[in-house]
Amino acid sequence: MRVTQGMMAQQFLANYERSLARLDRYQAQLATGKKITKPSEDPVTAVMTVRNQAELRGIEQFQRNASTLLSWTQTTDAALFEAEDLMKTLREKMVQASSDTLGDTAMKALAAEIRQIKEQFGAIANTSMGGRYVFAGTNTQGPPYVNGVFKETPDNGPAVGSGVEGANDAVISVALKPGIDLPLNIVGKTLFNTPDKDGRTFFAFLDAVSDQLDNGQPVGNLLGALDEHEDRFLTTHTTLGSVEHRLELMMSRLSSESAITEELLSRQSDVDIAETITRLSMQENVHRAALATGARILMPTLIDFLR
Amino acid sequence: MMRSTFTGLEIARRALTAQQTAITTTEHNVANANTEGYTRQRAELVAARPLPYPGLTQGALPGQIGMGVDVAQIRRLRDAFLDRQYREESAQSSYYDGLSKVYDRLQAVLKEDSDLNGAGVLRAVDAFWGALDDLSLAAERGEVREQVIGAAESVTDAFRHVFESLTRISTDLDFEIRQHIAEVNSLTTRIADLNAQITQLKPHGLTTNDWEDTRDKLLDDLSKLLAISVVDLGNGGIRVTTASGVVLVDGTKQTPLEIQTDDQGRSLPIVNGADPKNLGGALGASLEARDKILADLYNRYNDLSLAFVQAVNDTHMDGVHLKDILQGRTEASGIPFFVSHSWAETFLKSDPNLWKDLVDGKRSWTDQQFLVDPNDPQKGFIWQPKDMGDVAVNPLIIKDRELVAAASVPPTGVADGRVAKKLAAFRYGALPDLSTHESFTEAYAGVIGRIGIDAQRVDHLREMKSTLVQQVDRQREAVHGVSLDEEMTLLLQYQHAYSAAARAVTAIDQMLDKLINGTGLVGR
Repeated sequence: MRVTQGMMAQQFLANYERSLARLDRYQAQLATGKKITKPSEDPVTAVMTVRNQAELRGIEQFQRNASTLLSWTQTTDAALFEAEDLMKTLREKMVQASSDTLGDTAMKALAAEIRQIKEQFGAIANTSMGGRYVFAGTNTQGPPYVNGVFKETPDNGPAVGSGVEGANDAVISVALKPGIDLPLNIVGKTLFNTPDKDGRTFFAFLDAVSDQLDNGQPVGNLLGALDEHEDRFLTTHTTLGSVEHRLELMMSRLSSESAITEELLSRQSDVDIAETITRLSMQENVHRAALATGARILMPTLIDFLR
Repeated sequence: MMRSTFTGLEIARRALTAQQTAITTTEHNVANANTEGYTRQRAELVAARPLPYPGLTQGALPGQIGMGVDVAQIRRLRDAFLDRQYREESAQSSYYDGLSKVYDRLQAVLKEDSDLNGAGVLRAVDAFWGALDDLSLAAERGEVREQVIGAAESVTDAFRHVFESLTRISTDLDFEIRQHIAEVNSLTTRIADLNAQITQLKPHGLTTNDWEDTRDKLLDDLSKLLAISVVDLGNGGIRVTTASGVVLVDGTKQTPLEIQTDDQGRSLPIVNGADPKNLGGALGASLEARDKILADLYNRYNDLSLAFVQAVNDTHMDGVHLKDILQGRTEASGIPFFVSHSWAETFLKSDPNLWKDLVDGKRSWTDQQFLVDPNDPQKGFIWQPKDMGDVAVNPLIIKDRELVAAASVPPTGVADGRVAKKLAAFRYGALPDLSTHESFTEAYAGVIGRIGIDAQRVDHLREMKSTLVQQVDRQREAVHGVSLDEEMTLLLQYQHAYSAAARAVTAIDQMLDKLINGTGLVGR
């Protein structure tokens, strides 16, 4: 084949451009830290990357949900611990008040103490977190314990008007994975308003205790009902404990899933820096060689030797 | 044997002119060594017609006497077959080149990284699901409601960004098509003009090399714009037809491509009132990109975004908003989350009372009067977004965040977030209106994958075709390119021949001098 200077120049330019394009690609990879800059460079990786990024965002949201749930359970947990402590005090006082030997004044004093305890239970029933009452079901804007009773919203339906008092028995459920839900709240209505064997709710029971003491009667007959109420608090606390336990499991699962996805994502889309730098320097050598050759072949013509 | 006294001089003179012509041709080559499309030329030297010498009686003498040299023609050294190959490949190469450029732009639009100027549709949609998840746990909180609305506005912004980008690319392509058509017409006009000039001169045996070079260059340029085939008409003129056989240039007659605008405002090339079809080249690529690739992507995007809107609206309309809960209503509020942007714009201004009725719940959004076509409820409502560029968050909701319907029917309380939770679950659930039964993420990844694979295929073909073009061009260059070394060698060769011929003149001059001045002195 006949070879002309023009051909050599063209060929050189074509090779030079190709070499430069490769350098450019390695440069872009190193600068961005990403293997590909557009889907066409590797469509499969591109799609996997997009999906895994979305997956990661999903996991992040579940983790957010989990941390909301965690703060709710922690608040509820603390409230229930407080309630149990209070329950012990209540039992002491009631045992004390069961004896026939107590005088009227002592009985009245105990009655006053029981009333105090009731108000403390009321404060527990009105436990709130960021202005949301945790025992109020979905009627979170109003306090459920008002005027000495744990109020229920009419027909368990929505409260009319904002900030209205009362609780309903709705459970807000938290998604921790598609299809896996945990309850956000403990139903306060069940906790405080389930009637005992005498048909009294917890607060009515406390009223009965103090009323009986005021009338100078010992309260030994009410200790059975106390057992019932205490049992319910303990059972609820156990249920909450199991929720907390599941939540912990889910959180560790989510965080390991997040780590795995993140690693996968990195392996798919992140550049292996050592490898790329090696390739870059190899390409650099090729480029140098190409330039050197170009400089040599493009220079001489016959004219240089004709004198 | 008889011959003219000056025969020798004449032969030497012919030699001098012939070598001179050869030298000028060489100079012409050297001068045009870097001219694009230039074909090297050669002065074709032939022995001049010999003088017949009738050797009637002297059989030993030659029958002809050489009469020196003649320049038969100045030939273009070009291979028409390679030209044909080059033009075929170059049409395909520029076709894939055109497509590849469009794919590059489309991929930039689809990019999810916001720092790379991508729309980040999926990111926005995921953030929306996230905000709804948050809402499901705190439905009565104003700031969470604001977040949902903000995230929804980011989604509509992303949709609009994609819509506008695709529209812009489409408009740019349309402009490109007009540009290409104008270029084609300019090239074919010039080719027809050159045909006229060449056919006038060629039959008279005149050299038209440089014009033919110009014409070949124009044909090369034309072949980048559309696939052509060229037929030599024999009289120096050529006929140029498109791949589908539409004649663009026939000798001196040129048929222009005309531009017709269709009902969608797109420019279409028309020849003699008909669609020329399968144009190939850059023009074909622009047409294909605008009418197929872009239209296809637009449709996929549109279906996806409208399915998203439909899924959110259907679920949201079944929900109860905070205002209704506070007023003790238990039935679905029936407010769509997304509405048509254009409808809201005009409607807000034209009918404030109706708006008030809608806000107060006195009129239902699914009222008969909102049907696009009262006889065909399937066609939907006038407030529904028409395409992805038309999606807007319901202005009612933007005005009053309490209208976000997070609660289910019947609502349990202000913190009832069951509908918000149901909406958030669409992150993983199939969109009912999507024929492929995929979630938004899956469908969106599908769109990206499809574009990526198509773009990869086109890139691959472009690479291949451009290598082919380079190869053919190299072969062509091998035939018609100017080699300076070769020209220098020839120059020396011709120069030496010229010097020798000049020397021959001197010799004859000396001979004649001898004859004229040195002889006939007898008896002087």
